[in-house]
This record gives sequence, C-alpha cells and structure tokens, in this order.
Amino acid sequence: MKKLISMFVAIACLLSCTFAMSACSDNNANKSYKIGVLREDDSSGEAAAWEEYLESVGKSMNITFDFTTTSSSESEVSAINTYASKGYDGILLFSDDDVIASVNAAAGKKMYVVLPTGHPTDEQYNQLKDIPYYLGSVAPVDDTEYQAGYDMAKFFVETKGQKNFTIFGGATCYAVSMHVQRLAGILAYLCEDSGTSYDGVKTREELVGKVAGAGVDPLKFTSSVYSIKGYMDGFAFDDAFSTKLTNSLTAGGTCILTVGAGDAVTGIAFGISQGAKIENIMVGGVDAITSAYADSFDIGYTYDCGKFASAMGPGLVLMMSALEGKKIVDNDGNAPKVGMSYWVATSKEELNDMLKSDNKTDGFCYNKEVLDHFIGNTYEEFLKLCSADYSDAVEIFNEYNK
Amino acid sequence: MPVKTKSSEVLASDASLEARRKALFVQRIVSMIPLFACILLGGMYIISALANGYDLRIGFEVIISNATLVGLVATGATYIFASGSFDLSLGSNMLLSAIIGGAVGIQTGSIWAMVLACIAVAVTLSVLNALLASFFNLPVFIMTIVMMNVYGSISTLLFTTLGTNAKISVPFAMVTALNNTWFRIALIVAFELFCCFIFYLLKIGRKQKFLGGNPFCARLSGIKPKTLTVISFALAGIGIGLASFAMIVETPTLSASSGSSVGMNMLIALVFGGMNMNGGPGSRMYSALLGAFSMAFLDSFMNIFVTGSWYLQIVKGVLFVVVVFLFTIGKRSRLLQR
Repeated sequence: MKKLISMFVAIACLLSCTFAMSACSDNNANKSYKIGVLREDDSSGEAAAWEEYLESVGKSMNITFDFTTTSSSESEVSAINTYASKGYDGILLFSDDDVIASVNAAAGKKMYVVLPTGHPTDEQYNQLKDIPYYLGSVAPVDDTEYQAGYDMAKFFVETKGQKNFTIFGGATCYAVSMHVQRLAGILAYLCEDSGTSYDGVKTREELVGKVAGAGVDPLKFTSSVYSIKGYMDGFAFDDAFSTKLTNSLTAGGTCILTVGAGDAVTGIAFGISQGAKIENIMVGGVDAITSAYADSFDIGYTYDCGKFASAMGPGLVLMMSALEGKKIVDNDGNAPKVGMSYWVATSKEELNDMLKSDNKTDGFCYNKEVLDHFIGNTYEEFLKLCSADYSDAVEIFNEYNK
Repeated sequence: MPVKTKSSEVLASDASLEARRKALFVQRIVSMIPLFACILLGGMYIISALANGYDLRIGFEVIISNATLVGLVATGATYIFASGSFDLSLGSNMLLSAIIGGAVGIQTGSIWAMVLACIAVAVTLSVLNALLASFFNLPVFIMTIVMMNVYGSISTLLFTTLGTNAKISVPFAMVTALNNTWFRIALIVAFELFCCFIFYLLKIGRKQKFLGGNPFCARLSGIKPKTLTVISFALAGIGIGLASFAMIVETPTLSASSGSSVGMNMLIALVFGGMNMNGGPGSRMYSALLGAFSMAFLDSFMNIFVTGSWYLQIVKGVLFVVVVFLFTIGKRSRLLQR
C-alpha cells in the first residue's frame, strides 16, 4: 500500500508540474529593470570590480542586478530559466559554456542577452545574429588580444632591455583563443628578429597553429638574441609549477611574461626570488586593471594591461537601449560584435591614477551621466565608447560630467 | 501458580507485541518522510513563487529539467545501490558518454545514432567498472573511484583533441526539436516505468534486493553475486546514457564541467527519496524520482530567497545528514529487514 502511495506521489509530482505549466499564463508583466548576471569567476579582483560597477551604476539607474555563479552549460541554462521565472528582463552573460543554448534559453523566455566580456565565434554569431533578443557582444577581439601580447613583449625588450624570458601561457593548453592570441603576440614580436623563430615559423597564423592546445616548448625556440628559459601553463599553481618557475628563474629567465593571472605568478615568483636570492625579477601581464595588480607592483610587477571596472559600460548600454525600445544594431542591422580597447599601465602611479578614476568610492569612469548619453544613441557613437583607451575614457567622462 | 506463570508470559508477550507494533509504527512514519518532504517542499515552492509573483510555468519547467537529469542517473543507480554496491564514477561516465555520443551525432548527423552511442558507451563503461572489480577481486566502489579519474582524464583529452576551445558542440539545430519539457517528461516516465517493471516484476529485482540485504545467504541460495553486479551496473548504464543524451539536448556544447554536479546530486536525491544506502529489501525504485523532485523543489524554493550555489550546497548537506539520521531511528529496532 505504502509502495503504491509513494509511486502515486512521484507520478503526481510530474502531473502537477504538467498541469501547473498548462494552467499558468505568462507572468512576465513586471517591467522593472531586473538583470541577471551569469559568471564563472566570482573571486578574482576583476570579477569584484565588475560587480561593484554594476551595483553602483544599477543603484543610480534603478536597475537591480543579481549575480549567479555557474560551473557548466546546464547550470547556465538552469540559472537563465530561474531568472525568467522571477520575471527578469535581461541577462549579462559573462560565462560562455554554451552561448547558443544560453541565448536560445533566454530568448525563449523573452529576455535580452548581452555578452559583455567575450565574443561568439563566427559560426556561433551566424546562429545568433537573427535572434531578436540577442543584443550583441563587446569585448577585446582576437586582434586586440594579439596586439596586447605583442606590445607587452615590445615594452620589455625595447624599454626594459630584456632578452631572457619565462612565459606563463594561462589557458593556452586548453586552446582558449584569448590566451593563445596573447601568447602568439609575444612570440611574434620576438620573431621579428631575423634570427629568431619558434619551431621553424614566425608569422601570427603559424604561431597560433603551433601553440594552441600545445603551449610553448622552450627547446623549439631558436634565437641568437632572445631565450625562453621556461614555460608553464594551466592554473594549477602547485609544487610542479613552482619547481618549473624556480628552474627558469635560476637559469636567467627573470623577465616573466604572463597572458593571465599575473598577480598570482608575481606572488609565487617573488617568494622564489626571496629564497633563492634572485634579483631584478620583473613581470608583465595582460589581465585586469585592479587594485590587486597595483599591490603586485611592489613585488616585481612592471606592466599591466587589461579590462577595467567600467568595461561593463558598453554591454550595459546595449542592454538598456533595448529595454528602452531603442535597440542598437550594426550597419547591417544585426546585433553588434564590437571590439574593446584595453587600458595599459607601466607604473604603479599610472595604475593608481586609472583606479582612482574608476572605482566605487570616487566614482566610475562610465557613470550614469556617460551611459545616459550613449543609451539609445547611434551605432557610431557606441563604437566611440567601445574603442576608448584610458585617455579617451577620461575625455568621455569629462565631456558628460560637466 | 501455573496460571500465574502463564499470565505473566502472556503479559510479557503482549508487551513485546506492543513494543513491536510501536516500532513498526515509527518505522512506517519514518519511511513516509520522503513523501511528506516532497509534498512539503513542492507546496513551499508554489506558495513562495506565487507570493513573489513568479512565473510558475517557467518555474516548473526548471524543476522538471533539473529533476530529469538527476532522476535518470539516480533511477538507474538504484539497481547498483539495491544490490549493495556503490559507484562514484557516474558523473564522469555521463560526461564521457555525452562526448562520444555527441561526436557520433556530429559525424553521422543522426540523432538516433547519437542516443544509441550515448547508451552503448555508458553501459560499456559501467560494466567495465564491475568487470574490473571482479577481475581484481576488489570492492566495486574502490574500482569506481579509480575509474572516475580515468574517465575524467579521457574526457579532458578528448576535449583538447576533438574540440574547439576545449569544448565539443553538437549543432543546436539537431537537438532543438527535442529541447522541451514534454520530451523530458516522456523520457523520465518511460525510464521509470521500465525500471519499475524490472525491479518489481522480474526475478532479477528480488535477487538484487536479496544480495544487498544479505550477500552470504544470497550466495548460499544460488545467486551469483558477480553476474548480478555486472547486470546491475549495465542497467544503471542505460540511465546514465539517457541522462547524457538529455544533457546534450538541453545544452549541446559540452565542456569539462558538464554534468559535474550530477554524481553528488544523485546521491543526495537517493537519500532524500528514502533509499537505503546499504541496499537490500528496503530499496525502492521510485525513491530516486521522489528524491530528484524533492531536490529540484528545494533548489527552486531557495533560489527565490537567496542567490549563490554555496548556500544551497550547505543546506543540502545539512538535510542529507538529517535525513540519514532519521532513517537510522526507524531501523534500530529491526535486526532483519523485510
């Protein structure tokens, strides 16, 4: 009897779900601006800066932001559906486990989606661009990533006179495009020297093909001018990582070029250098403009390139324009896929200036006044906001905060 | 004098009978807790959602979606637990099955080939666990811990060799027609009925419960434990294969983290559903489905009030311990389970 009752209840659960789905009409009548943010990283300085920016701007613009940390494509879709059931208006999709499924899940529930930190591939974009609820993506494109790596290597060679390097390739071993391009940029600059090549190749396309998913083998780097003393990738900063880094530093590779997690690498390198009495360690990185990196300047960090707190501004402009009925589209009438510039600091003072102009206490660079100008404005105006480097961003701030 | 002795015997017998009745009553009440919990959680969710003006239709879609994936794996795993075994590699098995099934789907363009590949791989990997454990004469759960890492490593290798940006993407258009709640309901109901049929109406179900309850007596009764274990794992593999297919249908891009929470959620769902983790005659096939819905209701209920999966994991962990404790109360008075 008990068995029968239990089975009945289990089946009844299914049936009640079914009836409830049929009986309930759409309840998305709530028009207040509520935006869900899906992210994989909720602990880095970059993530914290973005959260502070969105909450601060949200407060002044009457937008509620709610953050969910996801770890897989199914948790991404589940979170989107949960936001839909709560009557949310849009999704800022930082995580990208399954862009197509996530955008379709949101569009199916009539929620707008913006990708403010990454781009879909060309193949994915073709599947997304006609979905009316997909509003576009704003983030550094491959060319920007490549240039960031290239400029960093150039800085250390030409300004700092470095020739012996240790390289940290981040997620290159997983063929993550962003890190692959940055690494290719580093190698491409070094390979501009006539006697330098990596595994017999020198050009960007060839270098990308060599390092994607494989990383760099220092033995394959041939040069009469430069040397790569050691290479590490992945984000397991364990004993094996420390051993490799120690070997590379003691072999003379005291200039460390990182394509991500530069603060973590700097901390470990500093510890090793103290123990092994290695001097003049300098680290450069492409990652983020955050206070954690400012602190790293005290222990060897020398060059910081990356996204900043207000980098969420353009994505928010796309979202708010659509919510206010003035959707921004590109010249072909499709959802924009726009590149964004990085900010670059080569000293602690410079980085602190950037942080001072873009923080919670003193105010953000792309504050309400700036966003108000761009929301619902033209695509050309929108491009100006996206392409601004630090000095442009300061000009934009001054123009709309008189 | 003899009358007095008889009377005291009768009294003692009556007292014993009364104690036994009381114990049975407690046992019955305790065994009904999963049912009450599911109804309570469902009611709490509906009331809270309505009070906050949430869309119940979408809310139930989320609940069914979450319950389906966990329910498929947990229902299949019931065979393993009922026969007294344990498998920790279910999540990594599901991911590897999905990768190979997805790759077959991409190559052939056939959804049938994809679902068959998912099931075939999942059954093969599941049986491999049982066979290796038999071959090395190790407890099965030890072998599944080893294989969990092996399957996880193979998956990572496949992502870097077959995938782009460490991901494998099945064309969305290929599965979009099935990506709806009705398909998920049909899948879970069909598999539940299939499993209940085998578990309750065929000899093999009784043998599994017997083996889980008392392996020594089962062996003396002519049951072959190793053969039965292999069959249990094969049946569990069908559930894993279907779950991996359901996962592809909902999120066609697979990455190393796909299905990562399923293994643990499956265990919690079984406990929430009232499954005896030691197996044996107390095992119930419908426990998995009941537990999966309880967990999905709990997830949705908590999502109304808090955000952040950490709170949810803590609450689930606490409830897991409480439920296990409650079940131990009901079982203390009985030496032999029936």
